[in-house]
This record gives sequence, C-alpha cells and structure tokens, in this order.
Amino acid sequence: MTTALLPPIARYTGVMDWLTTVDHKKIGLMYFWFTLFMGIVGGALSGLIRFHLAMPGATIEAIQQARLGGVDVAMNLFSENRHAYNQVMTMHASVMIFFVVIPAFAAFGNYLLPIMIGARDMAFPKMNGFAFWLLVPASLLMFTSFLTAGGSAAAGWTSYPPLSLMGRGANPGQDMWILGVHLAGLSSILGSINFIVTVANMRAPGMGWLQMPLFVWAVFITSVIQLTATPVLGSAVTMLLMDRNFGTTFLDASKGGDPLLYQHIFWFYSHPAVYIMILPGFGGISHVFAAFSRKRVFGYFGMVLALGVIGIIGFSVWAHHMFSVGMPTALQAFFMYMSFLIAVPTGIKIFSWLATMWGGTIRFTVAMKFACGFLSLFTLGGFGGLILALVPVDISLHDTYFVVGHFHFTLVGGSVMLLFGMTYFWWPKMSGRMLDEKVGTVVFWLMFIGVFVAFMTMHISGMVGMARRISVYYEDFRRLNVITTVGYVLAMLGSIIFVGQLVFSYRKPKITENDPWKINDLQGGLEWATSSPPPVYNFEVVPPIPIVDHMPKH
Amino acid sequence: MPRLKFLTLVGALALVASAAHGADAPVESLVTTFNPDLWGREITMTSTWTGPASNIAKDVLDNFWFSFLVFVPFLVLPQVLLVYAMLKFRDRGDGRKSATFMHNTKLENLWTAIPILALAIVAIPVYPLLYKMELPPKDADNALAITVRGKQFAWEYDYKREGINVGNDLVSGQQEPMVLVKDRVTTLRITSNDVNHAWWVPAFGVKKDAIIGRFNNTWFTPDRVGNFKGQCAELCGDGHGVMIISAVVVEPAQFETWQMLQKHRDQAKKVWDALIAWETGKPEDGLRQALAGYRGKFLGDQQADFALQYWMAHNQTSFARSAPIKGAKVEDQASFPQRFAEWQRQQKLMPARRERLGQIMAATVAAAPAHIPAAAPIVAQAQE
Repeated sequence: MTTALLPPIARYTGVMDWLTTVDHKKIGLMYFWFTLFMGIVGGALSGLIRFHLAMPGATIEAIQQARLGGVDVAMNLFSENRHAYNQVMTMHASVMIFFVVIPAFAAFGNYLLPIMIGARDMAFPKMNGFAFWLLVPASLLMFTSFLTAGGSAAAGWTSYPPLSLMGRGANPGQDMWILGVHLAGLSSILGSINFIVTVANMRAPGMGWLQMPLFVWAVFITSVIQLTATPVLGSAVTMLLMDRNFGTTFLDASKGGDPLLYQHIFWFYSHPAVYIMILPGFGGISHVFAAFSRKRVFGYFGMVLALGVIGIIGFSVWAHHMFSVGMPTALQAFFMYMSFLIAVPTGIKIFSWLATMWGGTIRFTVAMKFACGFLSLFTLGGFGGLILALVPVDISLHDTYFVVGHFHFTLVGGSVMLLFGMTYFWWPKMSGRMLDEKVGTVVFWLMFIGVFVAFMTMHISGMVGMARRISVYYEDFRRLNVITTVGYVLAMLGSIIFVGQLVFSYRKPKITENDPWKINDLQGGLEWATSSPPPVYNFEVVPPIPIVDHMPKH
Repeated sequence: MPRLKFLTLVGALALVASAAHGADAPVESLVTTFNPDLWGREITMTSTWTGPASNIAKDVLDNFWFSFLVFVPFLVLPQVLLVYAMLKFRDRGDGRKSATFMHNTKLENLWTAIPILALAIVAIPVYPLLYKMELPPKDADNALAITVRGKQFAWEYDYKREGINVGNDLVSGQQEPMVLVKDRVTTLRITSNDVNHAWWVPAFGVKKDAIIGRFNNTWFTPDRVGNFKGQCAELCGDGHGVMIISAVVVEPAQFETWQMLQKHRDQAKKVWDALIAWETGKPEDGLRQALAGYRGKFLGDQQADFALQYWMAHNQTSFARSAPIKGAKVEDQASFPQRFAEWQRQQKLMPARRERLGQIMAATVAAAPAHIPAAAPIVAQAQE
C-alpha cells in the first residue's frame, strides 16, 4: 500500500485541468464557485426589486398623483416598466432556486460525501462532471433570454399557464426558461443518481448504513427525493413547451386543456424541492452542532428517521400551495393535515440539535454562530409554515408577502445560513485555509439581523394585506417596504463580505493539520482524517471506521 | 357615534334643502360613497388582522388566534432553550467535560407525541370552519349573487338578479368598486377571461382564484359599512400590481338607491358626452337634445332627473381622475402637453356646464324627485 499505486491522474494543468477534471473535489469546488457567482447575480436582481419598492414612486397613489400633475410617472425603475419588474422577479427566483441553493448543496455533497464514506471518488466521475457542466448552458439560456425580443420569462418562477402560454412565438424568453429548467433538472437527476449509487456501493468496509455520518444520510435522502420528483417537473415544463410551440393543448383551457393540471404537476415537484433545498443542510449542520459542543450528535437514529419521514410526507403536501384554486374541501383538509404532520419530524430535528448542545462545552466559532442563528430563524420560518398550513388562515395569507417572508425565512434564514455555517466549518478542509473568525462574526451578525429585519417585516406586510409579485403597492405598505429594504442591505452586505473573505482566503498561509478544529477525537469523521485539502485519491489507506452504536439502548 | 349622528343630520337637512332648492348635497354624498377614489389616499387598507369586516374574516381571526396560542410554545420554547444552552454550556475554559449522552428515548418520544397532540387540538376546530367557508348557509335565500370576472387588468361584476353590470368606469376607464350590502350574504362566482387572477379583499378574509373555464364559488357576509380595498393576488402579467379590487359596503336602503342609479347609467353617459362636446357643436342644442332623449327613455320615471344629476356629478369626479398618461406610448409623447392641457381645460369648464344643465332641467318639465335616502359619506362612518 503505497501512494505509487495511485499516481495522480493529470493529463492537463491549469485551466484545461479544471475544464476536463472528473475529480469530485474539483467538481465540488466548481459547483461552489458557480453557486457563489450565481448567488451574487440573484442577489443583485433582488436588489433591483428591493430598491424599486423602497422608492416613493412605487405606490399606486404616487403614480396617480404624478399623472394628475402631468408628471412623467417613470420616476422609479419599474413604476411603469412593469414587464421588466416581472422579468427580474422571475429570474431572481429561478436563479436562486435552480442555480444557487440546489447546486450549493451539491457542491458540499460532491466534495465531502466520498471522503466521508471513505471512497476515492464518486461512482460515476464523468457523469459527475457532465452534471456540473450542464448547469452552465442552463444558466446561459436563462440569462441570454434577457436579450431576446420581449425579454426573459416573466410569468414567475412557477410559470403558471395561461400566463406562461401567452406570447407564443413572439417571446422566446419563456421557451429558453423552459429549456434552462430542463437542463438544470437533468443536472440534478444525474447528480442524484451518482450520489445514490456512491452511497449504496462505495462505503468503506465496516461502514454500515447506520454508521454513515448524518450529512451522508441527508444527501442520500435528498437524492432519492430529487430522482423521484425532478422528472415530474420535466413533464410539467414539457407540456408548457409543447403547448407553446407544437400546438398541443394540455394546458390551454380554450381548447379543452386544463391550466390547473400544470399547477398540480408543478407543485408535486416543487414542494419536495423545498426539502431538496434544506435537508442536506440539516445533515451538515448536525456535524457543526456536535463538533463545537464537543459531544456526539444526539438521537442519531431519530435524526435519520426524521429526514426519511420528511422526505416521504414531503410528497403528499403539494396542494397546500393551491388552497385558493378551488379544490374539493376534503382534499383541502387532507393536505392541511399532512402539512401539519411534517412539522413533527422537523420538530424532532430542532429538539435533537438543542439536546446535542445540552451539557456540552460550546465553542462559538463562526460556524457554530451560524448554526445557532439558523436554529432561531428556521424555527420562526417553520412557525410561519404552521400558520400557513391552516386552510382558513392560508386563504387570507396565500399569495401575500407573508408567504414571501415565510419561504425567505426558511430559504435564507434556513438554507443560506446553513450553507454559510457549513462553509465556515469545512472551508479549511476544502481549501486548506482558515477563514478569519472576526470577519466571519461580522458576516454572521449582518446576515442574522438583515434576514430577521427583512423577512419578519415581510410577514407583517402580508398580514396587513400586501399581495406578492406586485410592482406597485398601496401607500399603506410603504414604511414596511422601506424597512424590508434596510434588512436586505444588511444581508447583502454580509454576503458580499463573505464572498470577499473566501476569495482572499487563498492569500492566507496553508494549514498543515488534518483536523484544524481539533474535534475529531470525538467526531471520528473520515474527512478530518486526511490532509487539508485531501489528495486526489483522498486516502492512502482508508482509516478504520470508528464504530459507534448509534441505536438507543433499552 | 356622535359624529355619525351629526352626519346623518347633515344628510337629512341636505335632502330637505335639495327638495326645496334643487341643490346637490345628497348627490355629492352619494358620489363620495359610490365613486371613491381607488387610486387615492382616502381608503385605508384593512385586512383580516387590522380590521375584519365579514363574518368569515372574524371566524378566521378567531381561528388564527386559537391556533397561534396553541402553537406559540413550540416557537418560544426552542428559542428559550437555545439561548439558555448558549449561555449555560459555553466553553469557559475551566476544563469542564462535556456530557456524553446520545439518547433519551423517553424525551424523544415526548417531543414526538406532544407536538402531535398540539396539532390534533388545532386540527379539530379548523375542520368545521373549512367547510363553513366553502358552503354558503342554506337558509340564505336573500343572498346577493355576483359573478366576478377577472381580465387583464380589471374586474367585472355581474349582478345577475339585479341586471347590473359594473367594473369599468365609463369616463375614466378605471376600475369601479363593487357594491355590497351590510349583513346580507354575498355569494361570488369567480372566473377569468384570460389568465389566472385571484379575487381578494383582505378585510373580508376571502380569496379565490379566477381561472378561465371554471367557476369558483365563495361567500361571506360583510358586517361593516365602509370602503374596502385589495389587489389581484395571482400574478397575471404586467398590470398585476395595478389590478385593483374594491368593495363598498352600504346599508340596504343605499343599495336600493344604487340599483336605481345603475339603471340610468348608460343613458346618462350620452348626456355627459353632449356636455363634453358642448362647444364643438351648436351651443346648447346638442345638450338639449341629449336631455330630451334621456327623459324620453325614462318617461314617467320620477327618479330619472335625480339620477341624471347624480351621474353628472359622478362622471365629473371620474373625469378628474382620468388624466392622460405620459410615456405610455412613444408616439403619444409629442401630443402629451396638448392632451394634458385639454383635460385641464375641460375640468375647469365643467362646473359652469353642469350649472347650465341644471338650469335647462329646471326650466323644462321638472318632475318632483321621489324620496332619496340620504347617504352619509362612508369614509367618515368607517372611521367611527
């Protein structure tokens, strides 16, 4: 057993190496930087929205006053140019979902999962590279659609027909959006197949299913959801594409189709998709909680079970996005109760994390701060979700800023906080450089306060009656919108510092320890048993798997 | 309350005065009621939370608070435990060893079972409310049935039984409010002409999607007089943000008046057009003809003259809101100053013209107006 048996495969160097690599760590890093870049783009798009909505010209009353005074009403970015607003709003959501949050977890999955299970690479390295490179044309399709006549897709990321069927032939932006979603979907299908096969077959000897780290479990369950749900999204947008271009009438009510069919199929994917966007983080953050509490994770088996149950129930709650479309009452009741139930496994996870901290000796590194911040914000977001599950209340809150606030709490307060925390935790392993703790603390507080202010205010906007996706609003909501924008500025500032910190970390000296956090005596993670960053082959010899009896004793 | 009484008194006095001298005080107050400025500042937003105005909204609010109180421990407890753990178990460098427990089956069972119990408690009262919201009461034979039709980017309200269709102001082209009756069951059939919309007035606690090819039903009983506004709640294209929804809730007597006025709406528009076109044609002749035509249509209708006065005032209010839009189309840019000046000039001329119309009406056969219930300005009442 020597390294000589495993020469690093390096046919190219430099840029060509990155373009042709099939190494899971390099692909993971490419995913990582891709999502960071896309995150900046998506954040800038939301900046356009937020600044427009904070300016005085964004109210209905201001527009009318300007008209009566004979003044040009185009004083704000989108006051009269509402088509542009819809484009920006649509693309902000599409970018953030398809090119930021979903691939960001694929970045950590790619980098860490093979190492965590003691494998040398993913099961299908070339498919892995293909899955990543599919994202590039997908994103190019979406972005270049801004340049076409009629601009990009403007029907929201949900693209409900009949609105998304309008402008057939004249507006290729919607078609490009559909094809972009197809490519991104294919990418995540291939990626999930790869994860499933890798976890099932390539665990190091001695690592049973219940010895796997929680992050591996989370990625595995997420991949199963992804593999099952994403083709369904493909079928929904294919119908859209066919209806738009080839004269079919799946969704066209005037020719006997049913526009509601699309909503059902779309949400059958898109509800599980919200778990795709957070479950891997649930797994990852368990490591952070355990490591910095200097304990082992509490209730491992319950955690795994909860992940699985969320994955299963997640498939039977999709119509809670559609309580106002006019469904049979019994069906509404069913989806309401199923949505209730999903709070139970989520609660188990929250309480288990708290129990992991309980009695520990907690070190407040930036990663741990993000973990605690996530727990606090995610509980708030989950609480909003419970309120929304109540059909009678949801009827009042559906399609308002309350919903926007809720899912931003879970996606930004949840997923993004998780991603930041995981980055602070594993960046030393991935890059071989520590991140500065003081700067990280500033990032944390900016993010925490910014997210709280922006999205808590959105909840209130929704409760006092502000509909979502509107480019102009009643003056009653003006103050709330200004506060939201202040929160946005804080969070965006934090994100920019974060990206800068990552870029400049490459100028710092390399670390030499395998286990820079000094946690592995207790955690026994394989990723901390190899160098930082790991060699191409990950391990010369796979270290012995520390057998931990995770099962509760009776 | 004293203010309301005062307003009623003023309204009654104005009615007497108008019967005697033909002044238009009740006309003006009716216009304030039935033609509120949806684009202006006079209507404040109320929602299920800030000012429920229907039986459904009140039930929803009760249900919300009940569920909230049951759920809120599950929000507060983790936050408190988190802060406690962060303070209590932080590493102070005193060499304290971490605990080593990894399981506690009892505890785990507990935090699975208790949330399920809480959910069950919430699940029970929400079920009958869900059914109540779906089905209007069976004994509501006097329900006000309205067909609501969404189209890019306006709403059309069809009062089938009353034979009234409103939605698009004849002068300004802007959205008109729908008129509802206090304490009368209102059933809505909602549909769309094109893309998906959603009809939503936050104060009523009711929202339904308008989908082409479907009729979605919903119902509520408004229980407060006032103006209530909302917005389309399903992305429907470029005008989504300005697709205004508004409902005026009035007393039954005022609703009768409104019905009467709506019967004269289209014919009165012809007189209004003549009024606008006054100086282009022969002086006054076009106006006299239009007035004669109007009276001919409503021969023997004692309220017709009153309705005409109302519509003239109504249309003048609408006209004041129908300023030409700058920058809507590139080719319109050049002509904008002229169009704007013309609009301003017409507005200035209007009071004198209406006065002249009144004189002509008084000089010709003046039927005695029947009793018209005084309408106190609604905004003032809503604020009581």
